Amino acid sequence: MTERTLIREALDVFTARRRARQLAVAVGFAPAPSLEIAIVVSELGTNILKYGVRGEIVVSRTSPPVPMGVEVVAEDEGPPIADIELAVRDGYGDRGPIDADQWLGRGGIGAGLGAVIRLSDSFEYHPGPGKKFFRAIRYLHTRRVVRV
Amino acid sequence: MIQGTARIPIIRLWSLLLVPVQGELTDTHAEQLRHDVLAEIHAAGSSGLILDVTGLWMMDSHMCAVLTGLAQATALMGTRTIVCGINADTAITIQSMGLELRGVRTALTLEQALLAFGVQPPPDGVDDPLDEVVGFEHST
Repeated sequence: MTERTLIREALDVFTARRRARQLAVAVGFAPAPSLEIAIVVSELGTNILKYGVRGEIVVSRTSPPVPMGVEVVAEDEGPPIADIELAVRDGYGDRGPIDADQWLGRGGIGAGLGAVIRLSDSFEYHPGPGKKFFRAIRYLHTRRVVRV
Repeated sequence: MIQGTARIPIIRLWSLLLVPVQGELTDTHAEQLRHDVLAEIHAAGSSGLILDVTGLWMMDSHMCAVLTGLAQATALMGTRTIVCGINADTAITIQSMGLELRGVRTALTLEQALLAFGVQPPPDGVDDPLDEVVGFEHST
């Protein structure tokens, strides 16, 4: 069970998050957590649009030995995030605080990555030369591991 | 195949504006909506704006930014905004995301939003106010 969506424009994010919700329901998640998994996809997908280059979202059911759940991988070829510790803080971009006056211009309030972490049981960021990715997992039966 | 959203209607209700936010909003749509709503407030001299989000299946941080941004711009023109129609799942999600609709008033339903703006419900016993006005019920 894997859904792969290339992210080139906003409509692709809409497609990806809808697929993610369907997959989450198919895996056995209740409506509320399925919605949250869709939001994780939405936030990571929007980030690809805003900051990434040639990105894609892959949503899949976890396979053993990983406990049952849904895994979201957001990958792109853009430069690594300048300061990930800063970027995951609410109201911050990767270069510092975001003024409320900039919200609309940026198309966001700087809470996307923070939200992804709060809605996920496991979160990883892998900056790499020429390619970086985020992996967020939501388990059917919760356990939390956050690695940044 | 569902494409992006069609044009979102902006409905005049006496001195109020009602916007049923629905479908999927791209940045372009959000910008267009903000422009249209502000222009309409200016043209109609609206005293209040109601954003009904019943038609949204999810609210991410982007949508929260769009709604709060719209409410803030509206406040600059001296017009209050009430967001209504946030369902239970969405409310829980907004909270677990750690988001808030800062500075935005909310109401459970469209009716409650209208009441908050001072719109009175029709008196009891009048099923269809139009009947009284036009007098259809006794015409033979």
